[in-house]
Amino acid sequence: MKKWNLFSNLLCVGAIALSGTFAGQAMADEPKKDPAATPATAPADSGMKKDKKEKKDKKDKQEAAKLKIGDAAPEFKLMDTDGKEVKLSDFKGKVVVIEWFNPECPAITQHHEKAKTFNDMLTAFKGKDVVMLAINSSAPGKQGNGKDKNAKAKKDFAMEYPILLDETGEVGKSFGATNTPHCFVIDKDGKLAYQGAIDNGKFGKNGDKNYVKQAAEQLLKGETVTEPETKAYGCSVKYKD
Amino acid sequence: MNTPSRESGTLSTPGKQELHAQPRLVAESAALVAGQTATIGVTFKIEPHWHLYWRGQNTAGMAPSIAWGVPKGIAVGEIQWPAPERKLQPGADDIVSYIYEDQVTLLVPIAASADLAGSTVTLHASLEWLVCAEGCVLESATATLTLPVVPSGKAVRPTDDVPLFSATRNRLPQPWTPTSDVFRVKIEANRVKIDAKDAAAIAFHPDEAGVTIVSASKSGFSKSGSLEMEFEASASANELIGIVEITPALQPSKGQQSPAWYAVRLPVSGAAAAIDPSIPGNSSTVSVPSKFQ
Repeated sequence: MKKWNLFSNLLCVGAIALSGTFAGQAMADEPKKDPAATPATAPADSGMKKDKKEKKDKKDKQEAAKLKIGDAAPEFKLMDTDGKEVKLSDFKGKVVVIEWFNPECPAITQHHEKAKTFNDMLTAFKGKDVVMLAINSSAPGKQGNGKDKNAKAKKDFAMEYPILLDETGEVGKSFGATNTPHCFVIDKDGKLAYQGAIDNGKFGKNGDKNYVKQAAEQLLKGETVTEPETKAYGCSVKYKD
Repeated sequence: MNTPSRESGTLSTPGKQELHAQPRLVAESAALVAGQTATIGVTFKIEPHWHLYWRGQNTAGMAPSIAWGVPKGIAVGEIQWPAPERKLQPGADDIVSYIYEDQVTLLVPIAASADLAGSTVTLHASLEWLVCAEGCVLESATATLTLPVVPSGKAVRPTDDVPLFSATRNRLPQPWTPTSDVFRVKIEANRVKIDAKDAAAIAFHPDEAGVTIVSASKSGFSKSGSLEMEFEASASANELIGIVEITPALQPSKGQQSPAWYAVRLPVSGAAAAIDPSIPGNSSTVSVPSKFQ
């Protein structure tokens, strides 16, 4: 009996090593091309010990391959507050601006209530090839979570772009979103062109230079994004514990 | 009974909403001495389960800010920040915070010019702070403190708030020099290695003004006597600045000792800049204004 246990453990170790190597190769060859490589579609049947370990390996791999400027933005498929499904690949050929969102975070109300930073940006991009999306990765029971709450916020903030609900936090983690608002700008080829703060302000004080707008404008003109990375400020994303 | 006189700070708050962190200006001595530097404190009583932030490289969060309004003849120095607690957000181990819970007192050196002897001064502090539990609230208040200024040579009595000052000083990072035996810091290219003798754990709390520590949530702590981190320097941040926290190895004869904190500030580039062991905000001196105008 004892011997058999040892043997089955060894088998598991073998399987882990193999899957680890395979995942590594897939990453190196075609980074992020296959949506199955992102945790958004990680195996749901995680009952077995082996699967758990595999998941951990995948997690480590994903951290090692933290999303960088120029990387393909990970594909996602999320529901908005109207129950409509939205995929990132729906917007191929357009510049996509993503704002990590939490209606109850004061740094969000700072840009959606006190100032209309995001709405003004949408107005400025009317008629241009720019799409804006908000993604909320607050987990159930955490601040800012809930379809109704976000539908109300969309109305209260007069947002004319969808709020997508990412309750598992998988999309947030695949992008490495840590703050609300944490902004990402994706170019027309689906590659990450900007990540960081909305502007050069801070918590409680809006800046006078909108990094996101600057990046999107430069992309529309076919220019290089001059400031592709800044430090996001605001609340932390309320991921599940 | 000789009751120490107490100059309690008064507080005005905008709106009726209850603050999650209650600030107060506190004095260590019941009077300022003309021509000398004293220490006052901005103390926050923090609601249970809520926290304030140290001026570290917090993923989210922001340290309190103070804007002073003081009469002529008074000079205010840099804030001395006590060492914070390092916390990772459950479920999101790339979100790191350097926080204060329950109560924190920021020490501020304050100097009175000789001309002020015999007068009374009122110090105003406009405070703004982010206080968070699971969610965050940006709060602000104005606190004031009125103190007499006595001529030099006159004894000043301690206030009831002295324990706040001593508790804070116990957590102030000590000066550190590169030749210190406690730990050594080696910087090579974009990596820094800290090696300590007899340490059970090392943590590095990076200051917001210093080079950015890459993935500080993971790399900024080690359960050994050795800590290695990668950093990114920029034109505006080219020094390693922060607090090294050393947890001493367990010694049965002494029992578990509390950690010790050291202020580190080192240039990371080849330029042989002078090494200043003080960290911004940890200089305890402020020059006395020469003249009361």
